[in-house]
Amino acid sequence: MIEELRSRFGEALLSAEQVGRELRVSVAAAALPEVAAFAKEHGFHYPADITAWDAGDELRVVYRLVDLASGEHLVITVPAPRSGARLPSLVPIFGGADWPEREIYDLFGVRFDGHPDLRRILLTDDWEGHPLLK
Amino acid sequence: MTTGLTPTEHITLNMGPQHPSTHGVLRLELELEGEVIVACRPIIGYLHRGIEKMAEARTYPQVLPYTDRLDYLSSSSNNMAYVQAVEKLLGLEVPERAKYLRVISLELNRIASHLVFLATFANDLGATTVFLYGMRERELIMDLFSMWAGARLTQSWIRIGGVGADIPDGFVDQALAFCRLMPKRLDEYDRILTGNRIFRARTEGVGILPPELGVNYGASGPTLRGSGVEFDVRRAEPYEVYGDLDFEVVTRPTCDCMGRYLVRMQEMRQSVRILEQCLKRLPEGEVRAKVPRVIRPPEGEAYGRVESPRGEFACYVVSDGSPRPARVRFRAPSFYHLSVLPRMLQGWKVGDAVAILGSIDIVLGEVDR
Amino acid sequence: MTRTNLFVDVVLSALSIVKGLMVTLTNALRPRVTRNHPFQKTPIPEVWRGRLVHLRGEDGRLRCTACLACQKACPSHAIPTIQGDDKKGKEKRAQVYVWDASRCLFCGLCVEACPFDAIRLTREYSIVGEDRADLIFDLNRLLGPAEGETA
Repeated sequence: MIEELRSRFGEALLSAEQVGRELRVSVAAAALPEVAAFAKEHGFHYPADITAWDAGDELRVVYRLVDLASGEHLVITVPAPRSGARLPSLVPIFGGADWPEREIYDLFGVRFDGHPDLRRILLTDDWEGHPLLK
Repeated sequence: MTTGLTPTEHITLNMGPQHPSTHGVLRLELELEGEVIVACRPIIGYLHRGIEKMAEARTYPQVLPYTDRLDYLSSSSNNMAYVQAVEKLLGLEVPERAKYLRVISLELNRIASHLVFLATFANDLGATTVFLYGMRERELIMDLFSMWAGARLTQSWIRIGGVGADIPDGFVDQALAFCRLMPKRLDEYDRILTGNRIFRARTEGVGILPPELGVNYGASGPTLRGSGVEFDVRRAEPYEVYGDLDFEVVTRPTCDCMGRYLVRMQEMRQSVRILEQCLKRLPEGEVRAKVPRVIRPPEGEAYGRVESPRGEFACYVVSDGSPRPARVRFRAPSFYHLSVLPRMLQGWKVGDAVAILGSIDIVLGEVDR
Repeated sequence: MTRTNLFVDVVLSALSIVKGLMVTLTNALRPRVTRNHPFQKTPIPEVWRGRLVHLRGEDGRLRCTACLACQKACPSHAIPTIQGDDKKGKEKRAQVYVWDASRCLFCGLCVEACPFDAIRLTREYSIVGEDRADLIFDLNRLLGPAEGETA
């Protein structure tokens, strides 16, 4: 899998390592939809978790896809700037990305291009700022 | 959408946030054509307490009591997911007895939670008697928890390194008595509810969740197993002693409310089976590993994954090496189930919305966090 | 639906209701499980995590030495102020100790953190007041029984 990803995405694949049952990769934002689509073709049908965290100098958006048949995890980390970040939305590929992406927008301020309904989800619409930024 | 008659205007109807069948503070904005639901927009956040933000300002042990307040109907699963993630970060090995006690706590909570589901689901569909029966049996579990943990709902009893305390004398006997009683009571529920003609008419074939759609939307637990997908974290990634226990992963192929209901009913029997095995095999020994006073996990990230009564409850913890977590994220199954709800409601009548919403068994505490 | 089918359906539906009523009947004959609260008290187990109390040693003095371990362990700042008596006696003892029941999560982390076994959560579950100030307990209201006395 790592080799395949490397040959296919080359430069866009920033890092890759296998930790137990988890394949942790880091990819550039532009390549995210293709990597996700590629993963889905390879059996990672289940979007277990989509979240983000503030690493201080940048945001990391973490997509965890699971192959229900083999139990393998694919953890895709996408670095993003702390303000004004824009990432491609995964909603066309995973319906389950819909609400988590809204949540990330709400709490971290990352905008997802191509999201059908990017509104705040947990906080009120007139809330100022994004509380999970440090 | 056409009725063959004159076209009707769509009206918007708010269901909730104060509605007895929304199980908490959930608002569903329903767009109706006559009585048929054309579109639905769930509006959440009424119970948002910012627990994930609060966790950043707490030390590792201090985060634990907050996890109880997520899915408050089964606080031990929440504790377990968080504790599992922290223990993965620490590389901590838990004593064998503690593992068994954790499973006992988890399964008791699963039955308690499913009983609340049974009670409220039946109540929503008009069978008030079953509500009382469900609550009555749940009280037996609450008694067990109060004599062990000293609390009924917010136990915080699965702690980093083990469990809060060993079980008191008489606990095993009382729990075994419960295990003997429960299957008989489940038979009663089946007689009064499962076979009932009205109940069947309101649940069979209603609220279809196709398996592919469920997986694509991240559905899990009984909601997904009711659509025939055999996915259970206890089997897929056994934690604690689930790998050594003998139990079945219950699935139903019908994809409807009845399927999800039956999965939960069968799961309670499986939980009783697990409980009996654990209570009989319970090894002697310590219940808590040595944990440093100040917990400073090495830098890294961990994903604790638990099969809660509602589905895959997970906790993603990122550590920066300090005594406070850099990020704690709770993956709540109800959150995903609620996001697929609009797809399940489309084309059904308002009255069915109550049944469909009840059948995915959401807890708003974990949705809003 | 044909006539026979309809007939079968009606009979089966009626039977399902009769079956359900049998369950209700058996349950009606079972002993009552509810209690007439508040006239009838529910037995509360010893380990219950309710109102916080301060324990006293054999000499009747507080065990608490105002070491702040509980304050540091508390996740919700329910123990905002603790002050000692500047060691006028042999050991430092708590002079001011505030417990805010309205913030307390009743998790018991403070009790676990206490190195002197000076505080405990008790079986008292009904902590009520007429306003918020009633829920803020100072040391006078936190005193538990001295050693040997029963709660």
